[in-house]
Amino acid sequence: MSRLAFGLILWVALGLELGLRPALALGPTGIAPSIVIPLVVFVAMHAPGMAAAWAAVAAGLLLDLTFPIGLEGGGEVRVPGPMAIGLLLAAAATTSIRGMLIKHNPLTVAAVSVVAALIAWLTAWALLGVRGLYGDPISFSAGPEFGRRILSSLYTGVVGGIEALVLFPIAGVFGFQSSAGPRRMVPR
Amino acid sequence: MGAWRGGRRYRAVMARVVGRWLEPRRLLGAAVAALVVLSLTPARHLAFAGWFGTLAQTLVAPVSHPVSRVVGWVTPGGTRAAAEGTADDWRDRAEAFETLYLREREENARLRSLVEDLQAGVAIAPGVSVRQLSASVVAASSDLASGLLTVRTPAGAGVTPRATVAIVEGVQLLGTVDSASALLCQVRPITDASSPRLEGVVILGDSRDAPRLLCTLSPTGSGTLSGPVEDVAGLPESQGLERGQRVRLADPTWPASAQQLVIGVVERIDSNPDQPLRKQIVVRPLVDLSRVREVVLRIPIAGGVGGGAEGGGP
Repeated sequence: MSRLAFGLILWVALGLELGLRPALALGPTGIAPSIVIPLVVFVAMHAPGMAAAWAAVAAGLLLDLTFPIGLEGGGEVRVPGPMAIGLLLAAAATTSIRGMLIKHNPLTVAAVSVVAALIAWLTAWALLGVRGLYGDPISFSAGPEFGRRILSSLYTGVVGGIEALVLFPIAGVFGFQSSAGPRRMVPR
Repeated sequence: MGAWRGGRRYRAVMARVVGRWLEPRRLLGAAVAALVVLSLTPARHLAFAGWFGTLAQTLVAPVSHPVSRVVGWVTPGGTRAAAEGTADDWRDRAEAFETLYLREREENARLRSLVEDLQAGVAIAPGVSVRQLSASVVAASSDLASGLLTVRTPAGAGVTPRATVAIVEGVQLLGTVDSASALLCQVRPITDASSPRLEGVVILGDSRDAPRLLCTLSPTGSGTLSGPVEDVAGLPESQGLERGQRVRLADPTWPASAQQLVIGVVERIDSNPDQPLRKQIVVRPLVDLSRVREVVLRIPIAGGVGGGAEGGGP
């Protein structure tokens, strides 16, 4: 897989995610889709397992770093890790089931994006929730966040389906080995 | 000769050890372990991540900022340029002048008090003046839990956390600057669930001398603020608490430049569940604070006198 191509597309996806989030959010509910998660799903469906894992970690780490969490006493903190681990687990889940998937169908990306977003966001939710147990002063209310993340995962599926329509035509730039062509049966 | 052979063997062993540790699988395991540790590290030890975060946001800004601009241009309420010259525009300007008038009145009262204090021989610290700076919202937070807004600031603007406040539409208080770097700052909207409680006054009526009711408001997490309002006996029937009345900031813990800015309008009046004889209000800001594209930063100038704004009214 071409790291440069992935880096450039991740850069654009992250910029779109940050810029479009207020417009795509459902009112003041905070329910909003992710644009980066379907990209990670797309890569995990086509790239070698290790490359997909590193891609997920990189994307998750960037999300973590552009994710300031408010502190209860004022100020903010960025916690590297929760989304990186969450997306790594999501990518691992995707690579483990990709053999059973119809890879060249946008609906597949949509459906897997829902599952991947659930895994990633609930992992991040759990890791941030654990911090409350030892009195870390981050402002994070686990209860409302749970429902918000589940609904956002469904919304991510919708965006993932649309994003797949953009990603499939440019799949060649990623340099996936499987994108060279369909397998052929060779008679013995 | 022996020493040369020994060095060669040492280098070969080291190359093998390093090569084994640099295997992608081992590196990934080490990275995951480090990320788990960082995920659980207390916030006070994660200050270093802020630098990387600012770097990441700066790198992404060339994409996110134009997108934000386009979104602000396309979505209704994103810009007020189209409303220029309309009745709404004039109403907003009148509102801005009213804010200026109220602030000047407070300043006048402060100066009177200062004169009295000086006459009594008490030294009072001079106030602060502010300069206003228009700035673009580069991005919202990429996480669902956070409502912080990232605002691009010109180099050398002198934005200082806590002391600088952000406003929109001339009079609507957006929030305080939580943290600032050379080019970006984070603004915490007053409606964000993590924002602190604030004190305000409900202005009962349109006249300048209309009575005011003190209230304490906390963010509800759904774009509004709510809290108890004081109950003043003996108010005339025509000057009761009603929906649509303006609520302004009157909180001594906020900077002087933020006083009397609009928090919002009374959207709902309920009975207070803790004190049935008292009332509780729900206040909604004039605009959706999570969707603003342009803000005005009110930056205090150290050593300045008075709370008035530089470079024109708000």
